[in-house]
Amino acid sequence: MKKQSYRRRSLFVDMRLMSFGVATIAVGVFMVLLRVVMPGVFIAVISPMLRTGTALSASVDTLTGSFANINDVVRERDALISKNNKLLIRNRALFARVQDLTKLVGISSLKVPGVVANVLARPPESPYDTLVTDAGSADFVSVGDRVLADGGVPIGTVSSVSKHSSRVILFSSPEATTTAWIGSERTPIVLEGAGAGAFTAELPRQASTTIGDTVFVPGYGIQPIGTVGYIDKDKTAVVITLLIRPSVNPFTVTMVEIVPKKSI
Amino acid sequence: MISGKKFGQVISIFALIAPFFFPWKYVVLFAVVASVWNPPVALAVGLLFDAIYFVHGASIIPVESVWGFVIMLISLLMRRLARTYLFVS
Repeated sequence: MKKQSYRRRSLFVDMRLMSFGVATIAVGVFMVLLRVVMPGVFIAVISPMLRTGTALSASVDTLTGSFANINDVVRERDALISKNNKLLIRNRALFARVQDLTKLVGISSLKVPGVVANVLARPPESPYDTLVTDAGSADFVSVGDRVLADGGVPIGTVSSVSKHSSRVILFSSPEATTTAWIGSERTPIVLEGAGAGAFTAELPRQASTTIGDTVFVPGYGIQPIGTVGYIDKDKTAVVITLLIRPSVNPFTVTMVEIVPKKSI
Repeated sequence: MISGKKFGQVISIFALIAPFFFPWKYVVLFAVVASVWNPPVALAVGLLFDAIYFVHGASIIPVESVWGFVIMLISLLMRRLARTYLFVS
């Protein structure tokens, strides 16, 4: 009688998957090893693709924006023009005041040396609320340096550096906490990252905070980082939770300035 | 007419290059779809994500790799169950 034998089939091993599956995992492992062993080469390899992806996402935003309701767009444009005019007037007044104070005191503020860097990847491509920039140790960038966006708004700190690139953790990263102040009374708070560019903070219930109050972080003097967008007042809690909208949208950042931490 | 195996390979390659071009939510979707044909793609995409974007301080562990591994296991299990069901029925 012919002896029958059965080959035990494994749950996890299927020869049909092995070749292509092993190849895909090998690609992933290779990229991880490349980043660890040769981070400069890794960035050189992925930079063109990241730049292309950033340009593509900007094009998609432009394309989807063209489908927006025209009336809403016109209304928003008019509001922005009006706001821009007010800011221009205020800016001129402040500039004149600076000139007067400079004449009076006899000194002028020194330009702090910083490095301007292009952003290779940013949220939402990045899932961790991090930026990848094209400035590294060759440009005198070091871990802990502060990163500023448009208008000098601080958005994060440098967390890892290779020769020609660096990675920035945004203040809105879920694991990040930042000391800050809020409002005209400069009430101290601790900002906790909520992801996607937003922050939360807690204050005692009796604190006088309103929607629209500005939140500041330490910088050259103090730097505005966001405004209070919503206050969650749970009647059973002794604290109120603030949801803070950032001044700069990290989804649209294309260039940043990296300033040495010693200069802050 | 493209075969299922070829289609699976094509979509797997697409999922591997997606982290450079698409928001992470879409990349996760592509990886889940590709893992139907090729479960290890989910782990590979997770490793690729962490190679590009992970930094210490942003997260305690490389979350994307962990999720990739979990999705790979689920896909393998689902494939096994589907094959058993089809064999029995």
